[in-house]
Amino acid sequence: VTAPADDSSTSHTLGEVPLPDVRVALAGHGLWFDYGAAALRLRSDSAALAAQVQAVYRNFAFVRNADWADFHVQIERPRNLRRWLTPQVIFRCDGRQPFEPFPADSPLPLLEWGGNWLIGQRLNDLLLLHAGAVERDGLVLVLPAMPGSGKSTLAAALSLSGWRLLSDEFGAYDPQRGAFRAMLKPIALKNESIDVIRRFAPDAPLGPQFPKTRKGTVCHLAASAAAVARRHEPAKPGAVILPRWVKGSRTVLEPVPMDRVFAALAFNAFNYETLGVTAFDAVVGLARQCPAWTLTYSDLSDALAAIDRLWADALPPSAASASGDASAAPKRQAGAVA
Amino acid sequence: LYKLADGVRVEPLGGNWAAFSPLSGETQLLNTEASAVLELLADGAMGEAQIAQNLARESGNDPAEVGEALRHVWGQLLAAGLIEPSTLPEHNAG
Repeated sequence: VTAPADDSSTSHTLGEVPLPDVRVALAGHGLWFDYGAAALRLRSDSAALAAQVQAVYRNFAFVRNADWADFHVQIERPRNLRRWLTPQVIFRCDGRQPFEPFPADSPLPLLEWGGNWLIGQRLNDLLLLHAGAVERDGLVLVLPAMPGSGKSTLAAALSLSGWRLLSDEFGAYDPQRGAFRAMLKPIALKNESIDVIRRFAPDAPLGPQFPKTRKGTVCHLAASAAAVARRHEPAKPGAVILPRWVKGSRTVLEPVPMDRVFAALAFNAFNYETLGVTAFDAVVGLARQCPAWTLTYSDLSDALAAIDRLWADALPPSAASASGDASAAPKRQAGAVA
Repeated sequence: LYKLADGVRVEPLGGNWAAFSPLSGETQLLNTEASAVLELLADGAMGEAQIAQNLARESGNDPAEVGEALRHVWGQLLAAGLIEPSTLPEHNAG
């Protein structure tokens, strides 16, 4: 059970407050980050983290106290002799240090990596699909994919093109409500994806770039103010697209049979086995409810145009004007689009 | 005789079936033969020969050939916790 963080301690966003205030809060009682479906409390003595957090959580409220956090995290400088030679930071939660240290100038990737790990390990009131999730017209487009398939890049581009980002990593599905919830964090772009997004949207709110992490170069895209403001707004399942970036390919959308959608959702989920029959029933329902396609693409703008056309075709006429309406359900059958 | 194991969930998904066993905690996407077997067992316990005959009749194939095609299915369904031996004929086991 989670409760939203209490925004009452300030009406400012992290991007609006002076940097020293962020540093003081992190070094003291901590900062609360309300992702929508979960909240994290962060404390840190890292010299670099305040500015990094301020850059990529710029639209989140500056919250220094709240009634609840699902995770209590500390990003700290280790107290060993090595800190004099190779400064590092470590991630702690509930007294445990689950990861190896990161370089002292890269606390943000450690925070994001560790935060995602905690969500995947602990948040079992929701079915956590390994998928990007964006919303339009009250319906969610789910983007399940294996790493390297371009899921985060596509989610980033959609979020910069009028779609509401719920998450680039977690399709957080509430089986009781039959709706997706936001797990809104900065989108972690890696390697070539960073320049792809820079070219796609030169004004994209990107944070600092971190070379030589374990996943290569990483750069985070801040969530928009509108997405942050609506992070407690659930949305009904709409459609599923399985993206696959293939160099030089033309954009092709092909329908996917129900059993393959089931496999893509269930066998990529973080906590499918933990939830047992609840997860089985939920994924069966999603596979039946959501029309699905594979999307092979190399040109991001072309892929987005194809998705826009598809979305208009896959939605019932009432859905576009009935944002958030629980009765808005997609048409299950659709043909190939190229 | 075999019957569906207690608590097994079997759901059609398009042309195939997905099955969940609370015994093993595992989910299986079933091939055509396994789906057909579970569909028949959902109506009650049956023996291997009876199932092969039913499927042969519906598909127009030779019962011996169907029986051969099902030879490996029984072990897989048992291992997955989706079916279990039954001593008495049952109806509506699913």
